[in-house]
Amino acid sequence: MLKLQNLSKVYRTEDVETTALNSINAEVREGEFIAMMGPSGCGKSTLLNIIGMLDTPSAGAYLFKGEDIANYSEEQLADLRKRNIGFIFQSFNLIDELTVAENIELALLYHDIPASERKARVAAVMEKVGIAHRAGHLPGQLSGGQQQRVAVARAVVANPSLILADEPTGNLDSQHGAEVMGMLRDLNKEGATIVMVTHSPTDAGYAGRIINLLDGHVVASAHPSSVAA
Amino acid sequence: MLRNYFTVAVRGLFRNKLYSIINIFGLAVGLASCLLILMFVRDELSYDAWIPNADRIYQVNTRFDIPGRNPMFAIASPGPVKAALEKDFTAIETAVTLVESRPVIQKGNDVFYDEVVLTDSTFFDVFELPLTAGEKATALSDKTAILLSESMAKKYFGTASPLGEVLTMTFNYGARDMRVTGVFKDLPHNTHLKIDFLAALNREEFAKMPWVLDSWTSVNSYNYIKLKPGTDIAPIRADLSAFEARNIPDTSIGGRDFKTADFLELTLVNLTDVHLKSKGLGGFKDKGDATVVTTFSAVALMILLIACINFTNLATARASLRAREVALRKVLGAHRGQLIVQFLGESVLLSVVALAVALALVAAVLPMYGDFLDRKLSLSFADAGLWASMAGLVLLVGVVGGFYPALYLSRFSPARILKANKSAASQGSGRLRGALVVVQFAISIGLIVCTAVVYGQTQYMRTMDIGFNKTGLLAISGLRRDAVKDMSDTLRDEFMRIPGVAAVTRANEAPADGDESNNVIEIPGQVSTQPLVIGMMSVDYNFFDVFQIPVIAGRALSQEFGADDMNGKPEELAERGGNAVINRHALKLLGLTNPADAVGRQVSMGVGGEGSTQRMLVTIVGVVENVRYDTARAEIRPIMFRYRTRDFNYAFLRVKGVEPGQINDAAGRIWRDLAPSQPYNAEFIETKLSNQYNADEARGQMFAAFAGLAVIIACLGLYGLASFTADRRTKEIGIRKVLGAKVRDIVRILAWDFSKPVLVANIIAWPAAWWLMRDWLNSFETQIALSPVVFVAAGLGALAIALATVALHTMRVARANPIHALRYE
Repeated sequence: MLKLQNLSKVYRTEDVETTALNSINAEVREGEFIAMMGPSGCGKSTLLNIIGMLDTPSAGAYLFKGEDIANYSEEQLADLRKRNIGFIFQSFNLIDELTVAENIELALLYHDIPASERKARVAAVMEKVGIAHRAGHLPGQLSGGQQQRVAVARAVVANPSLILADEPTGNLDSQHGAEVMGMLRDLNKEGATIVMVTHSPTDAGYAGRIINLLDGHVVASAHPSSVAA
Repeated sequence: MLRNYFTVAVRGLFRNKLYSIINIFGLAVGLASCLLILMFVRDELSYDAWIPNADRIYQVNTRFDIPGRNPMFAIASPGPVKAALEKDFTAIETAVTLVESRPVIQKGNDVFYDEVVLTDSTFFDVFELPLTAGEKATALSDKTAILLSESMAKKYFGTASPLGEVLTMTFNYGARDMRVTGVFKDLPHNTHLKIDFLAALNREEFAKMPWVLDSWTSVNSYNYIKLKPGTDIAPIRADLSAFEARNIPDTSIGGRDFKTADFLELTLVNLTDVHLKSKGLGGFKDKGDATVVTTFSAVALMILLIACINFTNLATARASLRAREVALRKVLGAHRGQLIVQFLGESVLLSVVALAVALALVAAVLPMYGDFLDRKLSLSFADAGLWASMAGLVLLVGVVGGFYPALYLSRFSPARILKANKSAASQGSGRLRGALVVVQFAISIGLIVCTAVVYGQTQYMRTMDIGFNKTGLLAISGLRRDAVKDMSDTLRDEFMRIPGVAAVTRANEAPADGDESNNVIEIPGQVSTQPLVIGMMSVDYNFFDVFQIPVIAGRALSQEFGADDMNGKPEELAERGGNAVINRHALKLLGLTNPADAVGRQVSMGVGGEGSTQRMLVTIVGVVENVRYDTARAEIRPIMFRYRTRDFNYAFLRVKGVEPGQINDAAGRIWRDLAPSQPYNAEFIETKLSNQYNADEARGQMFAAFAGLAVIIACLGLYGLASFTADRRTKEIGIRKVLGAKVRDIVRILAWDFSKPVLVANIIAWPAAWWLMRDWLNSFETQIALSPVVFVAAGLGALAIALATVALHTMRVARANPIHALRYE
């Protein structure tokens, strides 16, 4: 699905140069569920942003479905992103002025999809994540767990092949966290590729493979059972 | 997609009420001001444009270059100009002369006093005005023909048809029976013409008054030409000075010939420009002023700019609140262009809402505004121009106000914002906000300074020392009318008997008339390179005494000296000479500076008017101080005062110790007793002089009102910005307080922050206002000095207003418990 070759990211301010990623080589295959772990500042969010095409690498190649997109323009990336990638954030990032249904619909607005079909798909996905009874509510009226379910629904409504999750359970209690992780596992089983950044070994246990990062390097890539051991 | 934008925009407006109210109200007030000004401007520009073929009609204006004086302009022109133009230029299709007249009008036993315009039979060929009764082609062909407006027809004849009815009109040349041949529609307000009656102009009637139609040196008629379709005015304009040389004969005064064409220059003003661009003496009604139109257009734009800046500032200040939405939309695949469109759409939507509020505001104040401008203005939704200007304004405001925020917001990079829910506000937008606040206050301070200067100058003109005592001076006009002229002395004696009248005097003209008559003097034994032009006034013996004009050398005119009496035939005067008094300004003509030196000097001048060859010697027996007889815009002229009773047209009553209104009533009763056929016309000089500045004052008030609105809108924006800043700085202030800062210190810090842009604004506002106002003041002959006090006061005033605006927020933040601020940040 995607391949990173000698990928580096360097942040420069006037007098400081920070290397966030240093010659990363990694591959994610179709249908994989990957957890990225590592201490704060190890570069996992930067890597996720690059994979999500929200940021561009300083050096190296990023092959998405066989195409090197490292030098794509912002417009090209936006188009590629909206067709292929869904995002889930730690802090939900719902728009306060929009209802649950409208927030989910937002993910379809920038595609050329007729209103009636949008409605149908939003209704279906709300049913799937169990939030249909809250369709007309604003985010402020929902619990954290419910908000994240809306965010998951928004991430998947456009049928992306890749779902990126940045600490999806970070703001949730363990029960709601488990619900969200269950949803991600189900999505993976239905064929979605998932890359998730997490601090939680429990969450990482849902993944099929774990990539460990430290100071901008991949230090290990292993099956979760070996971590748990 | 659009529905989504709309939903977000509308719900956002409701969620941020303070922000929305400030933006919408500020924009609404700005748009309302703009619309009001725009209506005024459009109305001013609409003058005469509605007259069919206005583009082919030109008014002849005159400019006199009298040696030693500023050029003098007149909207009127010499009578012979019409025939001469028609003769010389084949491109002229037709031409017409209009002469204003104020006859006494009798219908049976009723006496009326209305203005009548005398005109040629070609009138309706030039001005294709609609008739409601009568035939245009023949309406003015008869010598006794008269037409009247619909409202005059109603006044004189009620509902009956006036056609064929007879009105007896007593003109300067005598009483004539006039027969009504037509009724025309009342002229709308937006024309320079003011015509209630239109009567046949019979040129032979003016044979005894050659200055009206036959003299090139007097301007007592209005002349218009209409070009043939498809012809160009440029060749005619180019040939005008040659035309003048060809047609204007030399003038002979007292045996001396003057090359009139050298002093006189004709100009042709298109009909649509007459209201705003023609200038000088005369005119059917108050003229507009192109400068005023430009000034108010500029004010409208500045008010709008202030409102736009509010929008920009509040939008960028609040940007952090929108950052997440921007980032998210980008994550979901939105292009930057789509986001720009969304945000511009939002600002246009906001302007539309503001426009709706603005229209309500306009509708509410329109009747008052119309009264104030003395014209009927209406908000007609059938008017395509109104729609176009509204659409234009909304787009302008939406795009100007929303452009920067849209660029700024759409630039946010999603990666960082979404991770931490962090604000993306950068230093740059803060600096821009500061700069824009400076612009707002620079405009506000500038407008305050201008308002103060305009007000100061108007007050000054009304109260300045004009050289005579204008208080309690009643002017009664009409002494020169045929039916009254023999009663002049009787009237004077009767007026004297009214209790409370201290003195009565007479003169040929009254202050603020704007008339002038001139003669040319020569100093015996001296050859001057330029003709010495001097104004002539005929005054009663006690004139200086009653007006309280100081005699600075020699003596005033007096009955005791036979030579002071300048009545008499030209030949007689030429033989015996006479005495006169001059004003201080006339000393210059004689080459003198010391008034005492003028006493006893002799000058020679023509007597008997144009064409007469008689000359007389005039001995100067006294010099009086200059007086400002006309407006502060007109220069003081050299004047010679003489005693010649047949010129007296005004009686002046000096009122002492009683209610002036009573005197007016008593004088009116005397007039009606002695001259029942003549209307009584009286006015207090103080009022008359003051009325000269009504237009200035009205403009000043309008200026003040819009300046006030500008300040209010600017303060609204500052209030919003202060509330935003207060929220943003709670953490900083919390830390300061934890470290020991007192409320007083915090207030000082915040107050200083808000004072800085206002203080900087002065640096821009002061030179700009100084430069503009110096120019404006220079259009007056006498003016106030541009005192620095005005500038400093305006700056301090703006500062005080600004600090009062932010005081509430500042106090709230400064007094807050720091624990709250630090815990929740």
